[in-house]
Amino acid sequence: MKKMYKFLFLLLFFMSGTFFLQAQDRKVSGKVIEGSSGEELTGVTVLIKGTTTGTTTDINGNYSINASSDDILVFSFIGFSSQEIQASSTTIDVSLNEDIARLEEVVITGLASNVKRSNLANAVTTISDDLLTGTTKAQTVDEAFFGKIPGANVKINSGAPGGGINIQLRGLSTISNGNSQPLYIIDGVYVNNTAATTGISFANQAGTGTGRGLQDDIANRLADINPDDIESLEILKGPSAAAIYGTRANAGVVIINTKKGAEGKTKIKFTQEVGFNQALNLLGFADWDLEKIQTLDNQVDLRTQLFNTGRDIDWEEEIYGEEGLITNTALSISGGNAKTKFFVSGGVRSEDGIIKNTGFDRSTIRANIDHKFNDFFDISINSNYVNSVSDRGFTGNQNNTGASLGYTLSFTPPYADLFPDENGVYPDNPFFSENPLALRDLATNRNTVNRFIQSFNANFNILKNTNSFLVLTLSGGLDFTNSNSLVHLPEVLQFQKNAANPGEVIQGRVNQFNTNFQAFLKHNITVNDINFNTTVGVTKLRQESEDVLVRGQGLSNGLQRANSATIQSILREFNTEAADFGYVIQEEVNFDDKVILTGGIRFDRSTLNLDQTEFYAFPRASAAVNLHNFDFFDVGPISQLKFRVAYGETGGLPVFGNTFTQLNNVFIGQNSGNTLSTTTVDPNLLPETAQEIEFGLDFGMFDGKLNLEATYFVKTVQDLIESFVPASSTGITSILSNVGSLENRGYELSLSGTPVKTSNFEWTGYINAWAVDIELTEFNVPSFTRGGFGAGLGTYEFAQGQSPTTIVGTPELTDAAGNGTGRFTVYGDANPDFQLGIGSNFRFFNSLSLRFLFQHSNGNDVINLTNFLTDLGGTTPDWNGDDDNDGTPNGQDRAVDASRFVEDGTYWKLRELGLFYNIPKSVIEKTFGGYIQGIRVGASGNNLFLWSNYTSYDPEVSQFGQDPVAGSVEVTPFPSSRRIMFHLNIDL
Amino acid sequence: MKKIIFLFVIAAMSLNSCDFFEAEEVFNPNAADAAVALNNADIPQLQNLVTGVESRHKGYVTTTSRAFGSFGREVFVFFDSDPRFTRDWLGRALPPDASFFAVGNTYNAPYQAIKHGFFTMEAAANSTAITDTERNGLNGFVKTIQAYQYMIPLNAQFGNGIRIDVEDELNPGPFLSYQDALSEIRALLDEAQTDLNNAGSEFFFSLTEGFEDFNTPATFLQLNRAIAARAALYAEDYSGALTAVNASFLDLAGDINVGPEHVYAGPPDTFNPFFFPLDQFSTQIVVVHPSVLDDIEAGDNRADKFLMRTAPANLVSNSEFSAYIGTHQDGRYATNTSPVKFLRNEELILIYAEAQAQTNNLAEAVSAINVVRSTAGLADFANPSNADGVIDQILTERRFSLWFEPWGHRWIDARRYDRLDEIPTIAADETIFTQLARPQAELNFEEQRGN
Repeated sequence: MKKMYKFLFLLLFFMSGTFFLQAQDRKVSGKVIEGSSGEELTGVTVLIKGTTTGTTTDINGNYSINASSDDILVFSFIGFSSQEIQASSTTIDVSLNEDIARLEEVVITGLASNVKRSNLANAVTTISDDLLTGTTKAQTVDEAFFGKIPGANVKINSGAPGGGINIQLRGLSTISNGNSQPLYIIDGVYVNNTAATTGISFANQAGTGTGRGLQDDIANRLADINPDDIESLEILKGPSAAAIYGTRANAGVVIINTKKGAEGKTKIKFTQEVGFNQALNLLGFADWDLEKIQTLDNQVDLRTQLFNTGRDIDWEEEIYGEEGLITNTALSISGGNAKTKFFVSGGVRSEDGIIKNTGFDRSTIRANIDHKFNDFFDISINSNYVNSVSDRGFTGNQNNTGASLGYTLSFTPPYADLFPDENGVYPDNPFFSENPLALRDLATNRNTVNRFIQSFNANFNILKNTNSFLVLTLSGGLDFTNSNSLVHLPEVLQFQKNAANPGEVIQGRVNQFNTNFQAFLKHNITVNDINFNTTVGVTKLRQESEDVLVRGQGLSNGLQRANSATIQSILREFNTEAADFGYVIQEEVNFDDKVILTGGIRFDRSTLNLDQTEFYAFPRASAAVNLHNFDFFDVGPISQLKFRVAYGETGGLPVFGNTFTQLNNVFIGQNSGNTLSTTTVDPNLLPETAQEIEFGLDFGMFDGKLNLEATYFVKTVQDLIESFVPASSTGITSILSNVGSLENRGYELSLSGTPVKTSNFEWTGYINAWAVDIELTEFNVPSFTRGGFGAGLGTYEFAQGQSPTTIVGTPELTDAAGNGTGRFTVYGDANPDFQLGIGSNFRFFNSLSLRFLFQHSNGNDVINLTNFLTDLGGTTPDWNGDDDNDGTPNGQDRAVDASRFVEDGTYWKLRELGLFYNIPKSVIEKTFGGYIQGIRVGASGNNLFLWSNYTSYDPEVSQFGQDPVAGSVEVTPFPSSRRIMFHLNIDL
Repeated sequence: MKKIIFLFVIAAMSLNSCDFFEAEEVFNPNAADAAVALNNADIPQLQNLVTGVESRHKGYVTTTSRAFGSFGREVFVFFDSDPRFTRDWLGRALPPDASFFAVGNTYNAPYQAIKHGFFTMEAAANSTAITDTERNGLNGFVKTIQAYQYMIPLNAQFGNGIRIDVEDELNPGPFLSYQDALSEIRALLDEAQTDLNNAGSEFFFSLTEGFEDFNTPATFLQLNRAIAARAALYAEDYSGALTAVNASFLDLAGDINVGPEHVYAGPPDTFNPFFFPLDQFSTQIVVVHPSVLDDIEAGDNRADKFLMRTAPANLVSNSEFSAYIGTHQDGRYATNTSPVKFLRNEELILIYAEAQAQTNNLAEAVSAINVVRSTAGLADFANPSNADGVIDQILTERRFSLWFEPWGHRWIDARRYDRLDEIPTIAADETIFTQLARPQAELNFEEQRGN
C-alpha cells in the first residue's frame, strides 16, 4: 500500500503546478433578493457555470463578478432554488424562491463526497434540526426519529429515563446481537453507540450466562448527544447508499452534522424549557373481595386478615404515579468573519422519571471552530464534552431476588401493608420477596458517563482553475467514553436481609476509545457540461475498550463499596481491540444534472474477521435520471421527475471475541485451571455481506409544493453470522458460523407538500409509509429457537422460509406419527406489517404555528409476560372477569400453551404536538429596544397519547435491549411516559 | 506557502504511516487460546486442564440432583419466581418434550465434561513434557471421569439412548440403546483400568482434596472400580458388579461415608448448592418431599439429614401449589463450602448387597444390608429367605441412604425394578416420568443430517 502514497504525492506535485486564476472579460453586477418578501439575501453564491469562478453577495445582497456575455451565472443559496441566467447584460438582479422540495439541499453521501438532493440516486432521509427538535424535545436524538424515517423500525426498549432505542433500517441486517444498529458518524467521527453492561442482571438474577447484560435495560450511548447541537442528520438506509462505508455499514449509516457558525453578526440563542412527565398508560390493577381470596387459594388467612383492615392502596399509582420535572437550558453563541467562524454551546437537561429516584441528567458543552487560513487551507475543529447521569431504577425481569418493582407489584395486592414506620423501617412484603417501596427508596441503579468527542477536518485546495479543482481532505477524530455504573441493593432490603450475605453492590467501569482517520483526494472537472468527480482515499478505524465489573456481597453501614463487602468478586474483566483499514475509489459523472452516474468500490480489512488480513470488496453503482432537466421535458405543473436505481454492497463483522476459541479460567477448591470453551468458531467463517438494489421515482409538482418519493428495495444479507447449536452431546453449545441468508423486500413512500401557502396561513405536511417483508431464504443449520424464556412462554424461531422475527411457542408440532418435530406453533411476527408517520405544520400569520406528528405501527406482535405474573398475583386488570362464562375467573382460565402470551401490538401514537408563538418584532423592539431579535414561546408534548388494544403498558418494549430479532418481549417494564413541556427561546 | 502545506501533509501522513497499514494481528486479550494447549503443552498447562476436568466433573450436580430428585420425589424445588420448577418437574404440565424446562444441564454439563476430557487427552498426547507412564495416569483419570459423566445423560434419556462417540463435534456418532451405551461405558472404564495399571505409582498432576483418598493410580483405580460396579448394576451384570465392587474401596466394616467429593470453596469457586441456612426464608429452596418423612422408619438416624423448619416453606406466590409444603430442609451440610460426596462406601455396601442377592447369596446380602441398618441405628433386617424381599429391602435402604445424593438414585432405582408407579405423588395431576425427551439440539442435528 506504500504505492498508494507515492501516487498521492505525484498527484499533488503535478496538479499544484497548474494552479492559476483566470481573468474574465467584463464586470457584471446586481442584487439578489428573496422572492416573496423582497429582502436582500446575503451570502448567495454566484458562479460561472462549468467553472469554479465565483463570488458571494454582500450584506446588502449585492454582487459583482467578471464574466463574458456567453457565460451563464448560477445563483444558489441554501434553502432556495437556484437560478441560471446568461450574463448578456452587465446588470442582473435576481430574486430567489424558497426550495420547498429541498432539491438543492446538499446531502453528504460518502466519506468525502456530497451531492445535491435532486441528483441523488438513493432515498436518503434528511432530518433537519427543525424536524428533529422543532416541535418538541425528545430526551435523546434517536427518540426523535419516530415516524420521520421511511424504512426505519424504531423502538424504545422501556420507559426508563435516558434512552435505550433499537433502530433497524430496512428490515433486518443481521440476526445476531452484534452490529445490529446503524453506524453513527458525527462530524466525521465514528462514535460509540454501545450499550455497556452495568451488571444489574447479576443483582436481580434476570439473566444467566451469556444472556446476561442483554437484560440490563441500559441506554445506547447516542443518549449523550445533545439534540440542540444538531444541524441535520442524514440516514443512509441500506447498502446501496452506504456501500462506501464498507465493512461496518450493513445496518445503515446515520451521519450527524452539528451546527456551525456563520459569517456576520454574532448570534446568541437562549432556550429554557420546563415541563413534566407522567405515566402514559397505567393499567389499573384488579379489585379484591373475600371470595376472590378463597378462589386464589393462597395465604388465605393472611389475605383475609389484611383485606379486612380495609386498606386499599393503588400500588401501581403509588410506584408509577410520579410526575417528573423536566428542565432543559441551552445557550449557544455563533458567528464569525470571512476567515473564522464559531459555534459554541452549552446545554443542561434534567428529567426525573415517573418512578421516584429515577431520572436522566445530561450536560454538554461544544465548540465548533472553522478557520480558513487562506485559499489553500481551511480546517474545522469540533469539540464536545458530555456528562450524563441516568438513574434507571429496578424494573423488568428478575429472578427470586425481588429486585424489580413491576415484578413485585404483580404479586402485591392493595391490602398489603408496605409503608415504612415512623423509624423509616420498611415492613416485609408477605406476598413477594421484596417490598417495592423499600426497593424504590433505598436501592440504586446509576450510570455516570463522561465523554469527549473531538473531530477535525482539514482541506487543502491543491488545485483550482476555471473548470476543475483538486482537494485533499484529512479528517478524523476520537471518541472517548468513560462510564461508571453502580448497582446497590442495601442490606436492609427484605430479600437481602434473608440472603446469606446481605447487601449487594456491583460497580462497573468501562472505558471505550474510538479513533478514526481518513485521507481523501477529490478531483472535480467539468468538460462540455459533463462533470467528473473522482474521490480516492484511505480510512482507518481503531476501537479499544476495557470494562470491569466488581461485586461485593455482605455489606454493612449502608456502604456501597465492593471492598468493604464480606465476599468480593470480579464478575467481568473484558478488553476489546479492533482495527479496520479501507481503500476507497469512487467516480461520479454528472451530465448537466440530467443523468448522474456513480460507481465506486471500497476494500476493507478488519481484525474482527476470522481472517484478519483478508480484504473484502464492497462495490456500488447508481444512476439517477432527471427527466425534468431534459430540454424536451415540459409538462406543465410537473417540476420534477426523476428515475433512480442504485446498487451497493456492505459488510457486517463478527462481534469481538467471538472468533477466538479459548480456554476459560475455572477455580475449584484451592486449584485454578482451564476448561475448553463450549463455544467455538467455524474455521471458514466469513463476514456478513449485504447487497441491496433500490429503485425509485421522485416526482414533484407545482414548483415543489407537492412531492412524492417512492422507493422499492431488495436487501439481501448473506453469510449471516450466528451461533448455531450442534448436537449438544458434543459438549459444544454453539459454533459461530455463516448460517444462511435473509432477504428484505420493502417499499417506502414519502408524500410531502405545501397544500396551502398564503401570507397569513401556511400548511406543510408529510405522510411517510413503509413496509418490509423479511424472510430467511437460506438456512443451512437446524432450525432453532432464540430469545424470550423458552417455548412455553413464547420465543422466536429461525427456520428457512420464514422471518426470523416469527414468534412461536408450545405446543410443539408433531409429525404424522405423533413425534415431536422440534418445530413449534407459530403465533405471530414481531416485524410490523407496515408503519406510518403523519406530520403537519400549520402557520397562522407570521407568529403562530401548530405542529403535530402521529406515528403508527401495524401488526407488530409482542410476547407479553407481564400478565403471566399478574395472573399469579391476582392483579391483572381483567383477572376478576369471566370472559367465557365458565365460572372460572379469567386470571385462572388462560390457555396452557404459549398462545396466551402473544399479542398484537398495533398502535398509534401522537408522538409530537407543539404550539409556538413568535412574539412580533414590533412588540420586541418596543419592549427591549434592539437588544433582542426574537422571542418565541410555546408548549409541546412528546408521546402524548397511545391508542392500542395491547393489554399491558406499551407495545413498544424490549426486555432484551437492542436485540434486532428477539426484543419484543415484555416482563413488567418501566412504563412509558408522556412529556409536556413549555418553551421559551430568545435570540439576541 | 505551498511548501508549508506540503510539509504539513507529509507530517500528518508520516505520523500515521508507521502503523497505518501494518496493524498487528489482534490476539485474544481476555483468555488463553485453545490452540496453544494443543501445541506441546508443558506440565503446568496440563495440570490446568486436569483441574478443568475436575471442575467440569461437578457441573452436573445442581440441576441433576434437583431435577432427578424431583422426578423421584426425594425433594421439592420451590422457586418463587418460577413455578415451573414445581409444576413442570412434577409432571403437572405437558409431558417432557425436547425443550423441557430447565433440564438442559443434566445433558449438556456431562457432555461438556466429556468434551473437555477429550481435549485434555489430546493435549497430553501432543505433549513431550510427560512420559508415557504419566500420560497413562492422565488418560486413566480422564476416562474414568468421562465414564461417570456418560451415565448421567444415559440415566435421563434411558430408552432413547445416547451418543457415545462424540469427539468430533461436527460429526458425532449414532445413538446407542441404553444397554449398548452401558457396554461402551463399561468398556471405557476397563480401558481406564488398563491405563491406571500402567501409570506408575504417582500421578504427575495433583487433584483437589476431594480426591484425597484417590490421588494415586492405585487408589484412583478403586474409584474407577466403584463406578464400574455402579455401571454393572445398571447393566444387570451382577457378577460383574460383584467383581468390580470387590476391587473398589468397599469396606463392609469401615466408615460408610468414605468416598470422593466434589469440593466447593466459594468465590471464585462456587458454593455448595445443597446448603441452605436453617429456617432462612428463601424464595428459592429445596425441601424434603413429605413422603420421605412419612416413610422413614422411626429411630432411623438417617432422618438426621432432614432438619425441621420452624416455618414450613412453600410457594407463597402461587395458589396452584398450596398442597406442597416443605416442613424439612436438607441438613446434610454444615456450611456453604462443605464438600459433596458423589460415591460413598454406603452405596458400595448396598451395591454389594444387591449383587449378592441377585446372585442368590441372600445371607451375604442381608448381612450387608444390616451393616447399613445398624449404622442407621436400626434393628437387623429379618431374612425373608426370598430374593424379592431382599431386593425390596435394598431399595428401601437405598432410598434413605442415598437420599438426594448428586445422582438421582431413587428415580433410577425405581425404574430399574419397574417400580416407578410406587413413587408417591401428592396432586392427582402429577406424573412420574420414565425418561426425558431427546433434547431439541439433537433432534435438530439429526434432522439436518437427514436422519
